[in-house]
Amino acid sequence: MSEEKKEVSRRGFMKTAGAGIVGLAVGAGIGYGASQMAGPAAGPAPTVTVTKPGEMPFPFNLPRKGDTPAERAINAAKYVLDKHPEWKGTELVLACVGGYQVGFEAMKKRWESETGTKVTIATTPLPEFFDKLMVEAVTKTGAIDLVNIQPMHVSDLVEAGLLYQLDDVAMWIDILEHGRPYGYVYPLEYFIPRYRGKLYGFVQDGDVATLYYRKDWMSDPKEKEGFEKQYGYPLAPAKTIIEYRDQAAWFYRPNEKRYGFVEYRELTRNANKFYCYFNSKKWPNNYYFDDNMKPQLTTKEGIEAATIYVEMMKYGPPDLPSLLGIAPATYFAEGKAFESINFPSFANLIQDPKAASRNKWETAPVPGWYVDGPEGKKILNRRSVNLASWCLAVSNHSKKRDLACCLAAYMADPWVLLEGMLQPATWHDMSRYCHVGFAAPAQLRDRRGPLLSYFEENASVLTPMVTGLIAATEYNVTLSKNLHAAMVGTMDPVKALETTEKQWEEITNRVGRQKQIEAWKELKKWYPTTII
Amino acid sequence: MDKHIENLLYTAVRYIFALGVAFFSLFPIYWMFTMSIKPPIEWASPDIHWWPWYPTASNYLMLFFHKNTLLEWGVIKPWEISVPETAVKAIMNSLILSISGTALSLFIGTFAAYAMSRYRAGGDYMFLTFRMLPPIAILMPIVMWLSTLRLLDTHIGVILLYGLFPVPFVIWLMRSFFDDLPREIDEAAIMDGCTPATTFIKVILPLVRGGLAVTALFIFILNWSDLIVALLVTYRTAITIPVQIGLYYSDIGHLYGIMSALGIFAVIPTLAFGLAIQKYLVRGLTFGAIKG
Amino acid sequence: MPGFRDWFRIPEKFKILLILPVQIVMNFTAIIPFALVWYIGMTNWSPQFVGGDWWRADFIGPYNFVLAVRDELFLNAIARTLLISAICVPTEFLLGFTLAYVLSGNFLGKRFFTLVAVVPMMVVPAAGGWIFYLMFIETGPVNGLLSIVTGHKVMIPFMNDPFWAMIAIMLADIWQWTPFIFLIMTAALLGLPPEPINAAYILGATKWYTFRRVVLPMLKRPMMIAVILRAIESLKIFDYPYMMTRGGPGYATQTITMNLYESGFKYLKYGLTNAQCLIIFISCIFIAWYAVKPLRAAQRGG
Repeated sequence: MSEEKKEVSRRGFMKTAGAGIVGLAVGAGIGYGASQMAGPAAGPAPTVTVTKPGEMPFPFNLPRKGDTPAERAINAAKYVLDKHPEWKGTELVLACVGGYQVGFEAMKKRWESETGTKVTIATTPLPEFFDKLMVEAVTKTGAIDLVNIQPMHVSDLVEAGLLYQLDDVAMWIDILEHGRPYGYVYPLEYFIPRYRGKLYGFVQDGDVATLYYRKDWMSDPKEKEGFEKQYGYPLAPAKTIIEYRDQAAWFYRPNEKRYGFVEYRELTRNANKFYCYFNSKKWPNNYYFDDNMKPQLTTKEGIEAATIYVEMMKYGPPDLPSLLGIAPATYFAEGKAFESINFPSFANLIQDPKAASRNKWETAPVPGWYVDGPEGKKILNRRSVNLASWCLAVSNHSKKRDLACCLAAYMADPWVLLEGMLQPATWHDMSRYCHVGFAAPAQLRDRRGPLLSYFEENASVLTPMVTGLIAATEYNVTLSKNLHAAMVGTMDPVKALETTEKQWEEITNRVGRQKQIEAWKELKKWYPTTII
Repeated sequence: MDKHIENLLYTAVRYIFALGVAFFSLFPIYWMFTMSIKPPIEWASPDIHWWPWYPTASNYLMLFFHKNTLLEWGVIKPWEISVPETAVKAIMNSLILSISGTALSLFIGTFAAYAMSRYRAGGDYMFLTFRMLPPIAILMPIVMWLSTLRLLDTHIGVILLYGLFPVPFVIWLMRSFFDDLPREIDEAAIMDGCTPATTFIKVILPLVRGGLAVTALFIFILNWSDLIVALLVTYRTAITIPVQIGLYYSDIGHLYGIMSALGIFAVIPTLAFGLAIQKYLVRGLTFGAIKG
Repeated sequence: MPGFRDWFRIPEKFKILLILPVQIVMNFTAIIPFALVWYIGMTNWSPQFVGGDWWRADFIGPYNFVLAVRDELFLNAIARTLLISAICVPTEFLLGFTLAYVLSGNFLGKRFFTLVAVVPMMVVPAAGGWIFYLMFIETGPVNGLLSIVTGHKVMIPFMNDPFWAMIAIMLADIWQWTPFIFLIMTAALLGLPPEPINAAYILGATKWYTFRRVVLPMLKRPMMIAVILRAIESLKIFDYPYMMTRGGPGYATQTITMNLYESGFKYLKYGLTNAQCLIIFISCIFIAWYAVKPLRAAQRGG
């Protein structure tokens, strides 16, 4: 009986295995066939304008008609649409993170009415944004035509083949890249969209860190007197990080629902705030790496910066480590925070007509440190940081790439950008000389208030985050996470920096040190050497 | 007397315990519901509003209509809120993907279950073992495989996965229903001149109709609740409700009310179906090992 | 065409026909990826390197496995996940079993309470995670209840504290999965033969003694099944940390799945992550192999 059963079961097993093999073969066959079928469409073969002999290739075949970049771009788009009648009335997909859609919706109106094509804004939350783009780079579906990306994404996306190089388009359509009065504020156009010297995007948002503070609290004589008595120097806009800390401590009154300061200190992005404390700690700059890509975080200066960075937690609101989106600005707008080092969109929110802080705040150059300058003198070294800064890039796998390039150029127009900036709930910010300083239009002055006056000054000492290196995102995120752990008290700051250094070394070794050294040299060129 | 008091005490303890559990299990859902009918100003009001002061349906409307439409109707004020997209696509996708995935897994699973129940086909425990693995361990290469086939972020890709992942449940649940039928039925059908195929389709399948329905609902719940598969293999076209909930947890702030409204939407079908097949849940969850 | 008809007539052939669909889908979506995971686990593939195509990556042999076991974040995530199951599963078991036992008798409102007790299990985990996020934020009801109890305003940001964030996630897990144990144990209690229990009462045994000496031994197998299934499921925990903390603060609530998700899809270390996936995969197969045993006994024994 048992013998028979065994026989039966063995036969059953053989049958099953046989079926399995047949299934495997069929599955593999289908898979192979499908991949073969999908193959040709997959290659980097977006429709490119067919060039006859004697005709210039894209973008040099485009007409250069019109006075502004927007007009030129629209005329170019019309030309492209004539060449590709099948694109008439088509839809271009612009992928961005949540928070930009309002700006883009306002900016696209003229384009839509003049070219007759539709622009769809697809938003993704920031934490998932980069992985989804990477998936697109790998799958090459062409579902996205344009992407609004951060500088730290550029290197990886270029290496993965997602981004189309835009140097020629920028030059031919002439988006007014350089020089006053309409060019980009130096050095935004060198930091943000470039990788290995090539241009991959048009700046949408110049995120220059600025110091914000409440001028009505600061000018209160009672506060002035009390502050001077306790700290031994007068209450004035913070020049150093130490003063910044002291003022946060002085204005920290949780019983009155007032906190010293508020910043973005959330899980994956607080490193860019840390750089505001870190980069000015040495003259001319406190670099992240030395020339051999050895991380420089646990130097004496780095530890000092991290210690004060973590110590500041005491003076912020209790939920500081989880504030994201508009939440920090809400604290300031409701009159619950005294100061902040933050990006320019912050002004848009605290200057809102309904905000309690409207017209009660002032900006100043970012605080720095007193350091040993050249010739052994003590100097005040201030370094602003390029906090996020988004730029609009074109996908290499887009099926309508030529048209997408025109749209990108259109979106780079200074006056179109202004259209976006004037929206109440968007992260779009100033990026050109005609947006800031004396030249700033009145509506923008109303929405951004006093921010415009120090923008250029802060931009002149702008330092980058870790960008332009391969895996730049990972460098920044690992540092952020470790600092976050330090802020909530699971590690001490030194341990956090040490852990980060170890992780950074691991990344560098994985990516290839030589490659990174070259990229780092390229990035180092654009560090400022001035003082303000 | 002792006995009486003891019984009374036992009843009291039982009720206290039961009430406590009822509170513990229902309160969170109640809280999400109140959040879903709160207007934006009450979402994070510092003092707790146990019941909204100004109940509103705008959060639910926001799921279905674009902000501009609602502005025209005067349901919301311009400054109130900024919603990236409506959730219509996600809801439709969730329905389409869950139902098709359920159909696929039922189709392939029921056949296999019948083979395993009546013809001693092997491989049943292999499937069981597969179900025990964390999905991420197999999803990583699946994502790459799907991307090689250009199936990422397509409905077909997700349906394939939703058809595959619950197969162990289908096999074991359906198998237990098949096993409940006496073998004499098959034998009688064969006697009457049926081939194995006609026996299966004309005789056995109608008899396990109820079981099929239970299995279908059970698998639907599994697919509907899935987050990680959808998160990894979808981006825009094939996005589902659980992923969409995460989308509102976004950079422009947390849209508490809208997320809660969508959460309520996500919960309703599973609650209804789950309670409908409550009797069979145990059988499904234990792969037919314990029959409830 | 007799050959074709045979497939439906001859039982042996019909059997193959029956399991063919599952084999095809299985191979298509599971076996081929499984081969892929082996291969890519031994390459340095990362989309940034070679233009996005995995077949062009360098083969570096088992080096990734060496890196994988030295990856502290990965090891910590494993430890954290094990900690979560070590605390949640026993708690859920005790609660669920007690509840099943308490609700097992006949009393007014039994149907209602049974229904209510099962409700949390039906909640979509993603929504469940969101619910518990709402409960534990500063302005949430947990702080509200604490304020009422203590008499002055409490506003603790639970999610910013590594310890409390973990507790919140565990509570969510307990909330959702206690009904699982409850259901299984209710079914098991219902299936008990009444004779031995009644006999024990007649012989004058106390309730507690009857429970310990008569009921418990009969429940051994369902108890094992419930605990094993729950323990295995709890290793997969992802939805709660994802919705509630995204692994934060710091790395304090990063579970295995979160860690692999991060290193694979955010940092794009596909080679290393595939190696780690394989490690998890194989160790889980070992666990599952032993876990399946009592299930198998129950399924065979009916």
